[in-house]
Amino acid sequence: MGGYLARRLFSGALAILGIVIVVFVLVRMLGDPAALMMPPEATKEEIEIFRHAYGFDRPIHMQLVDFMKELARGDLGRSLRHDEPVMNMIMERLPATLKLSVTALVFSLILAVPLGVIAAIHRGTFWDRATMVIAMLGQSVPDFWLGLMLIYLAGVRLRLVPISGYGGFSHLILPALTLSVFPLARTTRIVRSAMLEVLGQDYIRTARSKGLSERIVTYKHALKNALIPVITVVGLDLGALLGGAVIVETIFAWPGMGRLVVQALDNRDFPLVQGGVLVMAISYVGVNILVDLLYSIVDPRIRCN
Amino acid sequence: MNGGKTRAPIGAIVILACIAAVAVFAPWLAPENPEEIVLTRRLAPPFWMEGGSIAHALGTDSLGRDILSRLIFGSRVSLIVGLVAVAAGAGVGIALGLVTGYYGGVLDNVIMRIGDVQLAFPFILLAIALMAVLGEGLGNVILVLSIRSWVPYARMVRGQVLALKEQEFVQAVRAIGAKDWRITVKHILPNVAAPVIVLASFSVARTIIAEASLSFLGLGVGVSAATWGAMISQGKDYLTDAWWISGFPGLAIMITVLSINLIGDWLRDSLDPSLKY
Repeated sequence: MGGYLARRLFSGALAILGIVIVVFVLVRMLGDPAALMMPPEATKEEIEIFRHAYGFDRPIHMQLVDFMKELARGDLGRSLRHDEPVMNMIMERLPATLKLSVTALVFSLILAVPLGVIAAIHRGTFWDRATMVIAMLGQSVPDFWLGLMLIYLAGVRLRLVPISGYGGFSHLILPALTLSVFPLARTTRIVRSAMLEVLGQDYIRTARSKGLSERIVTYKHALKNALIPVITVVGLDLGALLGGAVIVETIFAWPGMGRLVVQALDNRDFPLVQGGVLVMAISYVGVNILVDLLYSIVDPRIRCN
Repeated sequence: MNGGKTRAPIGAIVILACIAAVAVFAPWLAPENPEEIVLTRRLAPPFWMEGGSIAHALGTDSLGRDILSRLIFGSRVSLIVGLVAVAAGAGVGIALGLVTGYYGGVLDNVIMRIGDVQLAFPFILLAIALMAVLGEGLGNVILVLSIRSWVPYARMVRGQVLALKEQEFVQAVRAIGAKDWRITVKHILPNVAAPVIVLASFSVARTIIAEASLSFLGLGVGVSAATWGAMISQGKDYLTDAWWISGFPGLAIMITVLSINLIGDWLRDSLDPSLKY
């Protein structure tokens, strides 16, 4: 177990390092930030001074080494545009992203588990087919379009909820709903197939033959075991959501990590892009490792392998 | 899933065939030039709404361009990008999977680590950055989206090869002196075809949505190009007055992707019962 964890942590760290280097090089291909940051009437000398101050005149591998050195001290640098420490800016945005992704995940789970169970125990009936059609639709709809249509219907036509911005729970509903649709659809399908598989197992027959009620068999014996594969998918979803729901955050003007990084890309704000990407990659990889650990706790069979 | 019995999704196949036909015959089917700007007729509603006319059956956008014609031409971009990007990604992925699985070693390690790096990160951000560097254009969109898709193919094919290469039939062919490439291409590749086809069908669906997302963000084929994603983006500032500008292209994406997903589901159930989800 310890060896496995160490291996996972090592390959995770390697992946994070890889993505940081790729992004570091990539943003420097976007163009010179001096052209955007300096006033148009700036002289050549002034632009040179700017570039020198931030080290952009140095060879790219030297810049990378400098960045790594600062990173080792926990310093992500300062934003070019906002002249604030990148770390502070990320810490300001992180709660919004957390709030949004966790709410979306909760929305999806609250619906997906009962829907999947109902579809499985009524397999082949109208309810099963209806649930599967809805799930298929949910996996096929582009989230940004769904978000816009929700804004139009719930916000503009019916005036039920605020259509954008950051605030209380009412601001959270539309973006979280939009984000929850894909995980909802996928989780419903997985709960259904996992339930179908578990319901065919010998121990379910045993439980039934002991005279237990169908309800206890379904919820206590079957569902508990059927939820094991669900953990993986939910973990992947959380990782992806934490990575910033870039487009949904843009549509709803949600001040999260995704939007922060996209704006930073637009502004060629290199340090901010690098810092944001680093934090996203860490949360993505971190959640995946956590899920693997959780998996082996829930299912002791995995621990042996 | 239904006890081994799977019915072909006739409806989805017919719809997809129609969409493909529309894409191929777009210039003959579209009532108007999709780029023609006529400001005097801007924001005309679809024909069943008050003020709409059958001349612009699905209405016009903020520049007076005919929505139906733009939808028809937009199908081309979605299908071309979906098919070509997946074909390219799958081709590279399969080749890398065969090589890494068969030979192992340092190359295997390096390529699989590169795959890890790519999967350690939400792809859309990488795509945004890449498109910002490369610039708009059909070729660049296809390039970026094919970079996205090689990893799952490589992983899956590699896994299959690892399992297959110790099988007796492969050892038998090797014993009679077959060369490596012949073993992989002739004897191993056909055995991974089924899962590859299933995976490819779902990736076409995902890629169409990814292309639309990039176009929506203004990082796609071109800001003014008639693509479904760009159309949704052009309509987003007119939601209150003209929902149809964004509404119809989104429906088009949903119907296309839904059809592909249904076909993918059917392929998976009939080709490869071991893949459950």
